[in-house]
Amino acid sequence: MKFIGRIVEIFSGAKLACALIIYSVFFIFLATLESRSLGIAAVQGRYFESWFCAFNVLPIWALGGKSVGAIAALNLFFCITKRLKKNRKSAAFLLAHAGLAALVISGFLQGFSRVEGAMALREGEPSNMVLCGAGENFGGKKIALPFSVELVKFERKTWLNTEIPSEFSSRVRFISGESREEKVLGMNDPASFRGWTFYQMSYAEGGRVSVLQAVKNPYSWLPEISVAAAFFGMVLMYAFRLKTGGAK
Amino acid sequence: MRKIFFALCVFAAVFISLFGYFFGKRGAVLGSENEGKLALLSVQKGGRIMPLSSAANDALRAVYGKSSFKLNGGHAPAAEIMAIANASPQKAAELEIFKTDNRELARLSGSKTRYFSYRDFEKIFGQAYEAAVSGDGSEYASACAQAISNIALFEDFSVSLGFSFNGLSPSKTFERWLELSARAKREIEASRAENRGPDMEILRPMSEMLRNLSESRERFESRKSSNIHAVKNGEGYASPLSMLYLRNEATPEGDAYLKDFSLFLEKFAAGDTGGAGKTLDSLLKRNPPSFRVRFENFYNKLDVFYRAALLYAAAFAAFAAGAVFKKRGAEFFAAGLLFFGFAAFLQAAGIAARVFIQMRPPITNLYSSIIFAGSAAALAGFFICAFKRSAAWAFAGCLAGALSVVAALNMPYSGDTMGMMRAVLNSNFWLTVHIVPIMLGYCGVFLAGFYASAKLVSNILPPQNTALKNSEAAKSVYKITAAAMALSFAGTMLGGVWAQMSWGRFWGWDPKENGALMVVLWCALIVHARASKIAGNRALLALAAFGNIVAAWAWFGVNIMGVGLHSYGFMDGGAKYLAAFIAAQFAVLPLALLPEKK
Repeated sequence: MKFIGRIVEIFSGAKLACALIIYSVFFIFLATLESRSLGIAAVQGRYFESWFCAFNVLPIWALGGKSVGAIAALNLFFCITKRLKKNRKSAAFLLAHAGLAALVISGFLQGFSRVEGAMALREGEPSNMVLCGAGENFGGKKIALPFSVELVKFERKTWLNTEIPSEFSSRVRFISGESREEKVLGMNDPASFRGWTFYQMSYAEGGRVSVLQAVKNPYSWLPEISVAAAFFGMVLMYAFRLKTGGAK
Repeated sequence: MRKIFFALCVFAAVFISLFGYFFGKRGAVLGSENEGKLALLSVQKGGRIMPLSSAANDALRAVYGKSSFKLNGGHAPAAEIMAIANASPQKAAELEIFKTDNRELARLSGSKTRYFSYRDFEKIFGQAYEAAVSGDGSEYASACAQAISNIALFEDFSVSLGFSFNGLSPSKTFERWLELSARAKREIEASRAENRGPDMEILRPMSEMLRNLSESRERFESRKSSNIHAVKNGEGYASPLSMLYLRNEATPEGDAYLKDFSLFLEKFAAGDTGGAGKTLDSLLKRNPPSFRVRFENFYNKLDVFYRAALLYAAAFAAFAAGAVFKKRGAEFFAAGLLFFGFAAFLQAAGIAARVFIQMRPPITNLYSSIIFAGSAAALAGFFICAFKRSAAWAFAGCLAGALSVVAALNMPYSGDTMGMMRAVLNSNFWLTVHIVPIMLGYCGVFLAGFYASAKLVSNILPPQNTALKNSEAAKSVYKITAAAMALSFAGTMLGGVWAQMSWGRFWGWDPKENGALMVVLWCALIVHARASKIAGNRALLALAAFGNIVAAWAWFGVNIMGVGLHSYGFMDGGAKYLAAFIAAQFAVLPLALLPEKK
């Protein structure tokens, strides 16, 4: 029992949080360095989305992003439960740390449930094939959507007298059985249909082919809620502690 | 005595701030008044309507690294160099306006300095081209490739205001082209009517000129995003080449404008500055500059960030004088604060001016991010220093401001710093809510880092009560870092929300995103270490000083790597400056090990 108490003590402590943060900073630094030689997608799979990893520059086994996330989630969970009190400081602390815990959990949830891929659409030719994971993460697997998407028209605007693009947009038609629904999607302006969201990525063949990113992500709202909660919690904590200069 | 000293300092600060506008040397060829008119002409470059002063500054900075050139014992601003290149290409070819930092290339060009002329480069073009396409990746090869690209840019400049063919003047070229086109048209119509083949002898001169025009226009159009379109034609702007080549798009007003421009170039080439001035008046009357163009021209003349750098230097000199002449320490400190205040407000005014000119948020690229963060840190340092009378805050704020303007002014050229935004960044809302908080966060980290560094260094200087000093400093560092954490967290995560909207993913482990996350985490470390009393005062100061390294890496280091989606600010040659900065910060860290004295 004493041993469990000690474990809980360690997992709820700021020392673990500090150690984890220091580890994370150097871990992210080393992994980022490796993205130069391996590419971002490979680094993501090998370091950030793995339980254990070994760096090229440091040939030792180290905790991967998943392990760090899991320990961070435990650390946040224990520290929240330990410090639950009915006062405003505690509420601010709870809000900030619960928001962060939710953010970490959303990372795990999206890792399991999120599906994404690219769709290259040629004008007037409906397609339902999505090439997943840009080749590396999912091995270039193709999946079929339960509906088809047809490019009606791709439009590319440039700033006057330049080749600098100011806007891309695609008018697409979603076809499911007898139903037809037209939507326009552009940069920073996606369109959704039956649980899938489509984003304008790029184009080819002078605009005859529009490349869209198709994403199915049932938890896409979770990071936004988590971030808002964590930020307001931080601001409140800051306001309550300002006078003491950081001391509790 | 004190009042006189203070009044002199105010006068000096105002003088430094406005010197460029009122007394700057301009018009080595045209004279100051006519050069002012030339600079004010509206042109289009990179999709933006701007005064010729901006477009020419940008063009000259690309090849020469500066926005004016010493000529005839005076300073010729970029607009004048542009006029020389268009009116007297042979004369321009002799000017040493191409800069290279590669000694081998400079030596090959026969120059004893880092600068060479178009004529110098013509002689070595073959060798330079071979090196540029060799693909050996050496610095020499990349310098040769850069020089060839600059030469091409210069060739485009020299046909931006007027086009000359076969030694004819621009206006004679225009007249000749119209005459040859009309003659060819008549001949073709006549040959059709008479049911015979056209007389090739009549068509040949037109065909030769067309080929030349077509080749020149093709080259110009291939780089049209960075070229200057100087002729007001209908509602838009066109290049002289397009005006000649695409006759069906030319309007009568556009032709009249082009003729005036051609006349200006002829008078300029003949040294008739009075006549050139009159044609400039006519051009300004035909296309009156908008208020925004006039304002941008005023902003260019003021050269605010350079003036701010001088004021920061004056502030440092006054603070240093205060440290040496202790009897007059208070007066010098006040003078330093005055210069510092002028510099910080001038820098902020420069940012406000850019926001108005661009109608964009204050940060749109690496250049503006540096200026903005430095300005925010300087203003924060100034106000804290004004309230607390603390030299360390003055030093930290002044250093952040000075470093930012010096870095921005010396950044490698990468296009118009107020250029149009690419499609994915074309959102004022997201640019504001994502980037401004991040940069305010970075500014907080640097301010805390510089302040902590200043405190650690000052601990080795007498008189000392380092325990008390460190305790107060740690409190201040905590407050600033906590604010920086909230801001950089908000900015970074809002970036995630933006990425979710643009690319369909919240987080992609892009190097720039990773850098921002490292900054948030380091701030969190300082806050947790302080709140849980894990770190003492000295350790906290050391952590804050190390924060500078983390933030510098996040800001510039990942750009040097050249990987990722945030490809708006990759820079070459910045690695050595970053390494020097990191080494300087590492040198400060061991000072935290010094025992505290009570």
